[in-house]
Amino acid sequence: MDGKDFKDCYILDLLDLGIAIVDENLKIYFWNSWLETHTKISKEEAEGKRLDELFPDIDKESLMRKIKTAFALKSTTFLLASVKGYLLKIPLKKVTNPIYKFMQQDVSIFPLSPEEGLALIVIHDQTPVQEAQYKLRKKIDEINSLKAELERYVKKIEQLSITDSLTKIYNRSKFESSLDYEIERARRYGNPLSLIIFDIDHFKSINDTYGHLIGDSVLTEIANLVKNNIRSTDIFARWGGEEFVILAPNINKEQAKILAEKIRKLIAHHRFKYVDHVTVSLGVTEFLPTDNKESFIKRADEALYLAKRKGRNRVEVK
Amino acid sequence: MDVMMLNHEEKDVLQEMVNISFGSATAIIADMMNAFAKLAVPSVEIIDAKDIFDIILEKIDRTEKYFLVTQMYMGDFEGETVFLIDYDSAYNLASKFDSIVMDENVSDITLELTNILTSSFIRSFAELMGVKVRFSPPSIELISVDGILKQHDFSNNYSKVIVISTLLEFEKENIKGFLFILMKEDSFKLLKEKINSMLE
Repeated sequence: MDGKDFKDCYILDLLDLGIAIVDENLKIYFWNSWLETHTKISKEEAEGKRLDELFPDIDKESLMRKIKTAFALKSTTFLLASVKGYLLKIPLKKVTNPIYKFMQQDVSIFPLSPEEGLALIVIHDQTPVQEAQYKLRKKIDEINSLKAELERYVKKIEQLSITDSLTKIYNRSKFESSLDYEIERARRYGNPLSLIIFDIDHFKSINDTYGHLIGDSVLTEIANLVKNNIRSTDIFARWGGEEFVILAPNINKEQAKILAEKIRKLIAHHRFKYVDHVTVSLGVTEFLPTDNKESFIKRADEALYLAKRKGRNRVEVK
Repeated sequence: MDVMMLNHEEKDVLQEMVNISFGSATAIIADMMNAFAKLAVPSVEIIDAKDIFDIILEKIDRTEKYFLVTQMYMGDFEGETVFLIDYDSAYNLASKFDSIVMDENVSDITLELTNILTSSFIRSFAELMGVKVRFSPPSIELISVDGILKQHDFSNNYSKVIVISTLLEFEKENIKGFLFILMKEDSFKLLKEKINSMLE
């Protein structure tokens, strides 16, 4: 290379890269044939002109800064397709599924001759890589959105699997799994655990008199009433038909009786939407160290049966 | 003498090398910004690569988003540099160049800053060791600390890391960043050997 004459740099014309030699003011001293082909600007047109004359959209400040930095560092500076897209605006002619309008370029700026103020600009066409990354990112976004949708469905299914479809309180299956868990806890820590079972008095006649739809609305109203008057730690579920259960951790049978009385009065004094008067009978018991799940439920059931036998609309403890 | 450790004297030499490199980096950054910039004397630590995440967690705020710039350096002295800068610092830096700050400009300025710091250090280390190094193009991503921990494993390929904590003071604003120079075992041994020849 002689001074600023780069006419003999034919090797640079063979490379599959864009190569330009410029000074700090972006005046072009060499323009290789790759650049001629892609920019449609010939060597003769380019050499002697400034890059920003040929490409008015170029980020002149940033490029001049990078050239200056390369000289100061005596090392390469870079401009990335993933950040800036491109240095030279080269339209792409691809017609099948084009993603980018302009060629995506990684650019390396070498301090060719800091004494003469010359820098070598090397442009790599990164369009295929950027396109592949773009497609990959889109796929990842799709997967993430599907994953989020799936998680929403799983949550919904989980919720449905533990919820009674009519009253929207817990169903029997959720109650039984909670019962196993709470019995285990009561055994381990020695805390009291109480159970209330109640059913609607003469529910059959409500159904017979007013029809099943009204019967269903009574069940829903009772569920809402009770749900809003127990602790968040109590597990309230529909046991089946017109029967409900409340599992009350950390309270003994005397405290559970108070809770049961409160519920009885609440329902007895409530003005139902379609039915004048509804009462419930409640059986209460407390978990004993000798109990298992079945004996615990059986005793609460017996207390309920006693409440029914003694005239209904009452609480019995066993 | 443990070949994979630096003693007190060797650490002093390394700190001095870092200080000199930092001096030239500061001058370039000030020139790039066309204004007065001051770099505080950086603190330097040498750690095992397996401890890098502990150090990252110790130094940075878990709730912030960070730019993570990685760049390979190759030759007789080989490894990778990792620069971490929080988004606000990078944004402040970019706002000195453009009145309307766009995300791509924040990334581009961060790349330039990283390039200056990385090249200054690695080049001065290489010069001292009488070897040549080349740099691969850097890559940049905006990432959370959890993302760094999940997606990057720096401990597998490297044995030692020089951790340089930098603080650039610019027009009353602090721009805080951390540079990690990851080295392979041979490169660390070479660095230690050269430091010792300087001490003789």
